[in-house]
Amino acid sequence: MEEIFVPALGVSAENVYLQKWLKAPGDAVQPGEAIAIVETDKAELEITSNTAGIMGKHLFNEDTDVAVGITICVLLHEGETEN
Amino acid sequence: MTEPGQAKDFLSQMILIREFETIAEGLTLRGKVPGGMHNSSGQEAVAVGVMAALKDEDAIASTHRSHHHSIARGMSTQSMMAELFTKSTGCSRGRGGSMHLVDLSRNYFGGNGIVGAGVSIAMGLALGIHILKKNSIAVGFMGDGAINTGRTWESINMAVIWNLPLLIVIDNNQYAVETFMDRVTGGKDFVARAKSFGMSAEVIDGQNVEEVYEATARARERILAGEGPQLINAVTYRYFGHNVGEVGKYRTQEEISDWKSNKDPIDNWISNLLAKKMITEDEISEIRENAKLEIGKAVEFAEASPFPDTNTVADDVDSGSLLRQL
Amino acid sequence: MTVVTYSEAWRSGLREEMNKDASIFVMGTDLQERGGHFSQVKGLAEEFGPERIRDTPISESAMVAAGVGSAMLGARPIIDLNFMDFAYGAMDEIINQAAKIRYMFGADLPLIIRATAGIALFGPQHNNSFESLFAAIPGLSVAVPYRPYDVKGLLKTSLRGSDPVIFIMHKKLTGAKGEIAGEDVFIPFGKARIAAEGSDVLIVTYGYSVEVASKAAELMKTEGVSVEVMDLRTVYPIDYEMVLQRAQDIGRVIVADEAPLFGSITGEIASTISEKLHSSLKAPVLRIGAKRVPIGANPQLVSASIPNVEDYQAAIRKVLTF
Repeated sequence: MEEIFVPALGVSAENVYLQKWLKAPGDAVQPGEAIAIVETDKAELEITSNTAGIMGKHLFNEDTDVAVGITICVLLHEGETEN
Repeated sequence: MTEPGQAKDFLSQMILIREFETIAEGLTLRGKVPGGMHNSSGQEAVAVGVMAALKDEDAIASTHRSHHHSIARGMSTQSMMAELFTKSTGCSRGRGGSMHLVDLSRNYFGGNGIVGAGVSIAMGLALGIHILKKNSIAVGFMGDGAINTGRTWESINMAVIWNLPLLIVIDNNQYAVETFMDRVTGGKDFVARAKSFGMSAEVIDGQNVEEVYEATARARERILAGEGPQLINAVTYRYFGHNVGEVGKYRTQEEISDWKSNKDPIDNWISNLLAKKMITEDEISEIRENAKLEIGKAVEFAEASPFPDTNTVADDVDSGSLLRQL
Repeated sequence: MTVVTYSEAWRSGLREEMNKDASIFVMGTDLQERGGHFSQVKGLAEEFGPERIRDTPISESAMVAAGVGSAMLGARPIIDLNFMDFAYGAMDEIINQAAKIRYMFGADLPLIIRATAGIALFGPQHNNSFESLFAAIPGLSVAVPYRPYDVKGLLKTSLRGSDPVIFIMHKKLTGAKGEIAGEDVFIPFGKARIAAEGSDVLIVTYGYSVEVASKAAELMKTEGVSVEVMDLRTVYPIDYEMVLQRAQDIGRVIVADEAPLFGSITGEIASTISEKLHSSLKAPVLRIGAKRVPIGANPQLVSASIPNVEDYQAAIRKVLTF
């Protein structure tokens, strides 16, 4: 299971704005594929996967603020289920 | 040749550094390390080899990328991790952060956020040793980027004319942030520059812990014999970006892979020790397990520690010593 | 009491403390043969040798770094920059290193940086009064003595302390004579003194401006005006206890120096007095300072840049009109 989160980058951001989900629960995702778009104080940023897997639930809705470092969804690998 | 106990110590320390950096990198991305950090993965042998050749009484000043120097000097990984988290139990009480790890009890006079400043302060430490007539040396780490700041050469010149007990170690990962050094360095040769100032200097393989250790031990002896300040240019490589999460286009994936696959200081040291039958696979597993346990405890300690009391924010700006009526 | 020059007062305090503490040493350019550009260490190289009166190359950044490092190790360095204008080449070492080390590392840093400053002749790059620059840096303390007595007493306190000090001496006072105290007199930082007592107008000032203010006070006697002159002696910390007490007692205050008014120490003091005392003052707090210009080479331009005795008299008359 890969936890997808907004990485803490730079020296100021504490919260970022979750603008859009690019993948829905159940979608297959390839490594490096974009999953969501967030806006930081500096720029728009695509959140990407490191591994291949199946999208789990969206843990936050679009159009909300999320804290950096918090998991926003998981990617399920073969044989895994979301609890 | 290094004796077996020390050979294993080298390995334990390098693995402990790699584990610290790996865990700290992940925690930084998770927002646990305010401001970010500079990962030293890939450069472990420089820190471990140098520190092993130094004595407790030697004084050290370091750079912005200095987690590896701190661990190799024997600092508590708990107080280090707590400092990265900017907790009150951190070695700089949450005031320094990742770039300013310090342990005065180990004569480790801290990391420095300004390029070239640490090596200049180390020159001052060497002057202090000279003035106070101590029998020790000062060691200043610098990155390759500091080769092009004026203060480095002011300090080298001063160390040479005063014959100060100073060892400069260039932790040369070849990139100043994202700028390849050859692009911005006239003459390109650090050792030649140092020699032109009258300073003894040599270039070594910074990925070979034994070579670093031996070069440092030799330099220390020469300094104590009165032969003047010495410079070691230890060529190494940084596996991650300048700060956490930075993925630049300034290096090719092939270059990075080549260093990781063929020149990794930990892998190469393990191969060397296994070939000489100085260590067993079980011992290596145990070393890795111990490193995981120690860094796990460091993270637990950092997590459980309180943030600084904001009522202390104005404490220790100065000591108040000048206000006293003597 | 002994009467000596301002420079000799520095030497006297330094000699006494160097005899007591072998960890004290001085480094700077042209100290051994020349005795410094203001004769501040003249003769001391013969007494203490080249190790402790140490000639450096013209490397201000390395000089201050050498001071920071050796102070962290336990020595007591004095960096003598001769002219304060040369400090700008070492600003990182002063501001980012010396000033912050205690806050970051909890380490003692008994470092003194001495330099001569103030406005006289020799053009834009050898004349300045930017004590506000240093006083604004958390971690630094700033001495700006007027009398030889205070030079010696503040130096002796600095040499027994464990914090970085910027010690600013005024070039026009270099040869000025005055009494100094003996070995056991120390002047703490943050303690002002009354240079001339008065009851109608208070002038708060420091350094060479104490002299100009005192002349103005003397002249104003003929107009029946009694002016008090306060010599701050240090501009960080500032003796606000005395400043506010005398400002309240007298009710009409002028804060004066020869730095450009914009961003100066006088602005800091005037705003603090106004904030704390505004209802008990008889007049707004006035300020005297320089124009916001570099200091030219031509003597008439110099005079036109900085306040003179007449400017002080005009300000005194003005503050009395409210």
